[in-house]
Amino acid sequence: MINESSTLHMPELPKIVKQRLREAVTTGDHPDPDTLNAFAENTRIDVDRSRVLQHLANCADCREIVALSLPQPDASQEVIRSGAPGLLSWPVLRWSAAAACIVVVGAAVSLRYRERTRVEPPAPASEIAELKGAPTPAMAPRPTAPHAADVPEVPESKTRTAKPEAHQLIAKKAERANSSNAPAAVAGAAPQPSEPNAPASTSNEVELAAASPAVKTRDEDMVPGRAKDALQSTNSAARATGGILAKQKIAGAAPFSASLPPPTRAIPRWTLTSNGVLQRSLDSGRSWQTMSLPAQGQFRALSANGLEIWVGGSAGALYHSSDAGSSWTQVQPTVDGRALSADIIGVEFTDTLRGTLTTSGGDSWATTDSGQTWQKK
Amino acid sequence: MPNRGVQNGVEIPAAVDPLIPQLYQTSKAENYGLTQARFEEILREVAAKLLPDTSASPGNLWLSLKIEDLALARGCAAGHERAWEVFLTRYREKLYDIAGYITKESSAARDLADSTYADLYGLNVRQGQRVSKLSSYTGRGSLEGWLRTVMAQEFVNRYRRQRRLVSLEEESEEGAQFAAPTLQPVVSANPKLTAATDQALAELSPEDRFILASYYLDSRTLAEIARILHVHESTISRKVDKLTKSLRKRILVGLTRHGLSRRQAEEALEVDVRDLRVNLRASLVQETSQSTFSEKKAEASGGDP
Repeated sequence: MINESSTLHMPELPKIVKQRLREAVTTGDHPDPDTLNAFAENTRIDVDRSRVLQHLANCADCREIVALSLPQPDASQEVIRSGAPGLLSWPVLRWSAAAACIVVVGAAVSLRYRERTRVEPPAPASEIAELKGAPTPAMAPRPTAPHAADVPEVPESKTRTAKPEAHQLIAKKAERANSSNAPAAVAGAAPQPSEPNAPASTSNEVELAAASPAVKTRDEDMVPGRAKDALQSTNSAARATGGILAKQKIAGAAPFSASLPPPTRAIPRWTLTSNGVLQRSLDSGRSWQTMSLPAQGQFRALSANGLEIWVGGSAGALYHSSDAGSSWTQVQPTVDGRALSADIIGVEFTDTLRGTLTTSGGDSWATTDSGQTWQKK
Repeated sequence: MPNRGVQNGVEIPAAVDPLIPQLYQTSKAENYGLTQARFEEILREVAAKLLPDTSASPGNLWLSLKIEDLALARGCAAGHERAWEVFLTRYREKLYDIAGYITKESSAARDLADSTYADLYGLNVRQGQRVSKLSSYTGRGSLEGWLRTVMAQEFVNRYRRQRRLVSLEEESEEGAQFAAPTLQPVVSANPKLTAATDQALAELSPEDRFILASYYLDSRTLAEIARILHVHESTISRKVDKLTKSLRKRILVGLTRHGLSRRQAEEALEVDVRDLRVNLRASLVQETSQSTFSEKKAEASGGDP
C-alpha cells in the first residue's frame, strides 16, 4: 500500500512518535457502520466528525474498516463537479489561470477585430450587374480579376464541387426564406451556356442566389454543420468572384447574424451550485440562468462540450442537451434491463458519442452512441 | 410552533406533518410493503437516534436522508418479499464485487458475501423475532456505502479473530518454529522524551493525528487518505509534511521545558536506538533462512536408509 513516490518526499517521523501513536488508547465504543458510512460519504447530515476522527486516530481496526469501505477509485479523467473543486498545487494553478486569461482575452480581441474589419458596405448594384452580364473571362476565378486582387487563386475544381451543395442549400432555404433582398438580377440568375469558363460563371450566379436565403435564415433554423458547409461553399465562390459574394452575403445580414455559426456566437458556460442546481451563462459568466429541469437541486456532475451538455445527479438522474440547454432529454441508462439508480457523481463525455458516468458506488457506465446504449464496467 | 405532541421521545411539530406523506410517496415505501404509519414510526425512530436534541425539528433531517434506501432497507428487515426482490436485483452482484474488492480472493469473497447476506436476511432469531442488520440502517449515507462498511467490518473482525488462532502444523511446515522471534521495539528509557511526545501529540487535532496514523502506521497512500477526508491529495501531502516538521519542533520545545538544553533535546530525539541507521539489531540476530532448513531436511531424508 505504500506509495513509494509519496514516501520519498515525506520526512521521516521519529520512531518515538510512531510508537506513541500506535499505543494510543481508544476510548468509547467503536462507531457503528451507519456512523462510519455517513462519515466516509461526508453526508450533509451532521455526523460528529470530531468524535469519529478522535476514535479513528486511535483505532487501527476502524481505520481499516473506513479504508476498505470506500468504493474502488475511479481512473476517469477530470469532470466538472458540484461544490468546491479540488485544488492542484497552487503555484501551478495560479500561473495556468493567468496564462489562460491572457489567451482568452487575446482571442476575444482578435475575433472582435476580425469581425469589425469584415463588415463592409454592400456591393453596389453595378458590380452585381457586371458579374451577371460581363463576359466570361472577367468573371473567371483568376487572381487577375480586379476584385480578386487580394484573394488567393481557387482552382476551378473547387468551385465546381461547391455547386451541388449550393443547389441543395437553395432547395432547402427557399422553403423557409421570407423574402429576398437580393437584386432581382441575381435571384433570377440562370446557368449560362457552356464556354471554357462558363461553369465558373454559372457557379457564381448560383452561389449568389444561395447567399440570399442563407442571410434570411433564422437562428433556430440553422443547423451548425450545414451552416458551416454553406459558409464554406459560399466562401469558395466568393473567392472565385474576388470577394464580392462575401460582401454581398454579409451586407444583407444583421450584425452577428445567422450566417455566423451559433457556437462561435454564444458558447454557453455551465455551473452547478452547491445545492445541485444547474445554471447557464451565455455572456461569459456575467449573468446566469437557472435551467428548468425536473431534477433541479439534485445534480452533482456535468460534462459540457460546445453546445452539448450532460448533467447527472441523485438516483440516476441524467439529462442531455445538444443545443446549449434550449431543449433537454432525460436519459435512463439501462444495462440488462436494470436501470441506473445510484447517484451519479461523475460525468465525462469526450465527444458527442462517447462518455462515461461514475456512480457513488464506484461503478462506471459507458456509452459510445450518445446514450442510446450503455455498458457497465 | 404548535406540536403534535411527543412521540417516542421526538416532538413532531405540526408543520412537519405534511412532510410525512410526501416522504412516504417519494420513498416508494408502499412498494416495499410498508404502510404510512409504519414508515412514520421508522422516521421517528431515526430522528430519535440521530437528533440528540429532541426539541429540534426532524423535518430537515428527514429531508436529508436517503429516503428510498431507508424504505427499502426497512422493508427487507421486515421480510417483505417485494423489498427483497428489489434489493437482490440492485445489490446481489454488488455484494460479491464489494467482497472481492475487500478480500482480494474469490473464495474468501464468496464466504464473506454469503455470511453478510445471511446477517442482512435475518437468519438470527432473538426472542422469537428475526433480527436483520438492515434494521440498523438509518439512511444517513447510501445503502450501498452502508453495505460496504458492514462487509468491511465483518472482514476486519474475522481477520482479527483469525490472527489469534495459530496453526502449529502450518507453522512447523513453514519452519516458523525456527524463526527468530519478532522483537518488539524497546520502550524508550527517556521518560522526558515520552512525555514531550505525548504532549505534542495531544496538541494536534483529531484529524491531524488520523492523517499521521494513516500514513505512517497504516502505510496508506496520500491519495487514499485524501479520499477518506474528501480533500485533494496535495492537501494531505502538505499536511503530512507540515505536521511532521512541526511535531519535531514541538517535541524539542517540550524537552527544553523539561530542563534539557537545546542540544540535549536534539540528541534525545535523534539518538533513539530505533532511529539509528545502522541496524545493529538485525546484525546481532541469528539469521535463519527457509532454504537452508529445506536443504537440511532433504539431506536428512535422503540419507536415511
